[in-house]
Amino acid sequence: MTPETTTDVAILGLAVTGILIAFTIIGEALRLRQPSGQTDPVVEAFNMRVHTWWGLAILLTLAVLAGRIGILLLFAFASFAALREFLTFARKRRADHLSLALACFVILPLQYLFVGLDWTALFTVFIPVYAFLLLPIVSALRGDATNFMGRVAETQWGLMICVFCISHVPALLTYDMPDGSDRSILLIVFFAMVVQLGDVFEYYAGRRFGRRKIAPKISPKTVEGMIVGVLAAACIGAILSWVTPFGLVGAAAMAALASLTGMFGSLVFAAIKRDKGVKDWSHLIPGQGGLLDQLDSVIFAAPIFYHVTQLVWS
Amino acid sequence: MTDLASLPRRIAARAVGHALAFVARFITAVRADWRGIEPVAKQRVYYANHVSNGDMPMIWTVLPGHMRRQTRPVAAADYWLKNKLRAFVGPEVFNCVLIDRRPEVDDKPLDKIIEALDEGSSLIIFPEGNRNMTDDPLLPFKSGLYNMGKARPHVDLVPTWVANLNEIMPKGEIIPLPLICTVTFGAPIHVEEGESKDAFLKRAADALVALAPENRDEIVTPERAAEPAP
Repeated sequence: MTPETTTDVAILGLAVTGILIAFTIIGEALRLRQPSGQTDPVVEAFNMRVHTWWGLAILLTLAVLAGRIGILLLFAFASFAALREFLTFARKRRADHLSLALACFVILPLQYLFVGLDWTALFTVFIPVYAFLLLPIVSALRGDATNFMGRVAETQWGLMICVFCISHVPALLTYDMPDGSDRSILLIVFFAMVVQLGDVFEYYAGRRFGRRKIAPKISPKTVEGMIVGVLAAACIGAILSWVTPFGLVGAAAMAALASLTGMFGSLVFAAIKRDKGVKDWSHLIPGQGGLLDQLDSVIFAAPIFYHVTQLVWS
Repeated sequence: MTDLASLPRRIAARAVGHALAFVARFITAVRADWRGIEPVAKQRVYYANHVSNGDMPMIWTVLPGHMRRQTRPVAAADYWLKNKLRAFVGPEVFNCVLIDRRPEVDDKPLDKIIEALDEGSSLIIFPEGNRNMTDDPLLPFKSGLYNMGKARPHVDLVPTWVANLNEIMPKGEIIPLPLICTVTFGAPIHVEEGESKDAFLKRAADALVALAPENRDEIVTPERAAEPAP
C-alpha cells in the first residue's frame, strides 16, 4: 500500500472507532436511564449489536492492514461460515454428500483463488455455470431421485448466496481505480459502512415511527424505516465520497443503491427463515444469531455494487 | 520415573486433543446447549445417541476443560486398539474406558465402568451399543445404563443429544460436511426405587429423544413458524 492509502485507512479506522465509541456511550446512557434493576430488551439488543460491530470493525481493520491476502482470507472464512449455516437447513440426502463436500472444500477455495488472481472472466461464471452443471451430475450419479430438484436447487442457491455473492466484496480489490492508485481496498470499507449503517437507521427508524409494513407476513420492515435508512446511507456515502472515485453525488447514489439492495436482501432472508421455520441461522455471534443474519444485506448488495462500479466508473 | 518418561507423550496427547477440538469447531461450529444441567464438574454419566464416529469427539469438544479432564468416554476396544494411531488417540487423548466386545472374552464390561466411576470420573456412553443406521431416532437401549444407574445411584445420568451428525459424517463417508452441530444436555435422571429395567430404559430413551430438534423436513405451517427476525 502507498503511504497515502495507509493514511486514509488509518483515518477511516479512527472515524469508525469514533462512531463506535459514540454508539457505546449512547447504549450505556440508555441503560442508565432505565430504572435500577430493570432492562429494556431494545436497549440490550442495541448494546449487543454495538459489541458485535466492535468485533467486526477490528477484524475488517486488521484484514485491510494485512492487505489483499487478509481481505481474501477474511471473506473466504465468512463464506465458509455462511455456507455452513445455509447448508444446515438446506434439503439434502446421503446422495448429496460428495457434491456438498465439493461445494465447501473445492468450489469455495477455487472461487476465492480466482478472485485473488483477478481472473474476472472466470470468477463471474465459475459458480453460475460450472458449479451449476457439475454438482447435479455428482448428485445424480449416486442414483437417488427423491426430491432431486429441491436438493440441487437449494445447494446451488447456497453457493450463489454464500460464496458467489460474498466473494464480490473482496472482488472490489480487482477494480482499477481511474487514477491508477491502490485505493480500491477503501471501497470495501465504504461499502461495508454504508450498508451496515443504513441497516441501523432503517431498524431504529422503523421501530420509532414506521407504520406501513412492506411485507407484514415476512418481516417487520416498514416503508418509513427503509426511506430513512436509504437517505441516511446516502448522506454517509456523501460524507465518505473522498475515499471513492464516484464524486459527491455519485457516492451518495452508490450508497443509496447498496443500502436499498441490502434491505431487500434481508427481506428475502427473512422469507427463507420463515419458510425453514428458524429464527436465527446459528449462534455464532452471541446475541445476534449467525453470520448469515449479520451479512444478509451485504450479500445482496455486493454483486450489484461491484457491477455498477465496473460499468459506470471503469 | 514412569511419569517423567511419559511426559512428552502426555503433552502430545494434550496437543492432539486441542487440535481435534479445533477441527471439530471449524467444521461444525459445535455448541453446547446446557438445557438441564450446569456446566460444572459434577460426577455424571452423559448418555448420548450414536449415529457417527464423530459423536463422542463432539461431546468431548463442548465440555469445558475442567469437565473434560474428569470425563472418560466408554468405547469399544476392538475399534480403538486396531492400529497404533487409534491406540494413541483413544486411550491417551480421550482417556477412554475400553470395553472388550468379543464374546469369547470373559471380561465384565460393567466392572470396568464401575471402577472408573469409583475413581470419580464422569463417563460418556452410547447405550444403543451400535451406530444407529435406521430412520428411528434411537435403537433399543442395552441394559448397561440401567445396571450402572442401579449400582451407583448417586451419579447423575444426563441425556445428551448430538444433533446433525448423521448428515455431517454418515457411516461410510470420509469427508465430514461443514454443518452446524449442537449438543444438548438434558435434566439428569436416576433409577427409581423398585423401577424395572424396561421401564427405566424407556424413560431414559424418552428423555433423550425429547431433546432432539424437530424434524426440519416437515412442512412448517405459518402458525408454527418462528417469530420474524428484525
